[in-house]
Amino acid sequence: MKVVLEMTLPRDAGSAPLARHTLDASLRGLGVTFDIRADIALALGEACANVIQHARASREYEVRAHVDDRRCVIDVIDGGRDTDPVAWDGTGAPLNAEHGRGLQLIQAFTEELHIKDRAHKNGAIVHFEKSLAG
Amino acid sequence: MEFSAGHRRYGEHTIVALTGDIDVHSSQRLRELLIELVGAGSRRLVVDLDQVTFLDSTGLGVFVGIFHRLRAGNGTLAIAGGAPRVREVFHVTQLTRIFPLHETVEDAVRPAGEGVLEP
Repeated sequence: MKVVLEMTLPRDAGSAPLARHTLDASLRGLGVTFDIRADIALALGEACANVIQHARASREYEVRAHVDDRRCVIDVIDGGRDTDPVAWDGTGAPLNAEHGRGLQLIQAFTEELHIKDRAHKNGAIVHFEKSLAG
Repeated sequence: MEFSAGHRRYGEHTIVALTGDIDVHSSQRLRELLIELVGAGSRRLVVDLDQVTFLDSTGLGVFVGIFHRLRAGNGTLAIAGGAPRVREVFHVTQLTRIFPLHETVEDAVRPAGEGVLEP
């Protein structure tokens, strides 16, 4: 079985819990275990928070989730940032920093984290995957 | 789950019990509440995470900010309780190196259980 879920969300803070809960309800319906759903919810929440806080040139953004029996593959796509693109060197934030832990958490709890610029368009794509095998 | 918060005094401690999701949507309210408590004179904050259903990096950022604010006035911040999922984000981000993570509120308010906040 395959399930594709696409959400176009306003770039406001309330969109993060909305996206998390919508995907979580689908995954629960598909029988995905609590722990794996929690990992996915955290990573999705972080990706949404990143867009909400940094993609100031976007009014909306998209969340695309492709789920099959083995994997959940997620892309969070924004329409542009007024500062630098998503920059990350793979390390965590300085211990005393108030920001900068989001991508670290996505990497810790999911797989295949990639951040890329959109081809021929403004904006960035945060991609990650999660094995559903447990 | 909708975020809410309550607090109570316990000796010289202020125990802040949080409920629901702490995320980019609710973290500003959490920040305002904690700043208000510190502004009103609370110097030993214990944050009870037992009823927290979700915690992301924006919530962690609030705790780090409050930690700095408290430390400037010789205060302390301790984190207590929480589901394994919620506690894990403190370990992954190594924040357990700057403030203590206790199993329970009782552990956090016990004199010997208080972490010494070093820079």
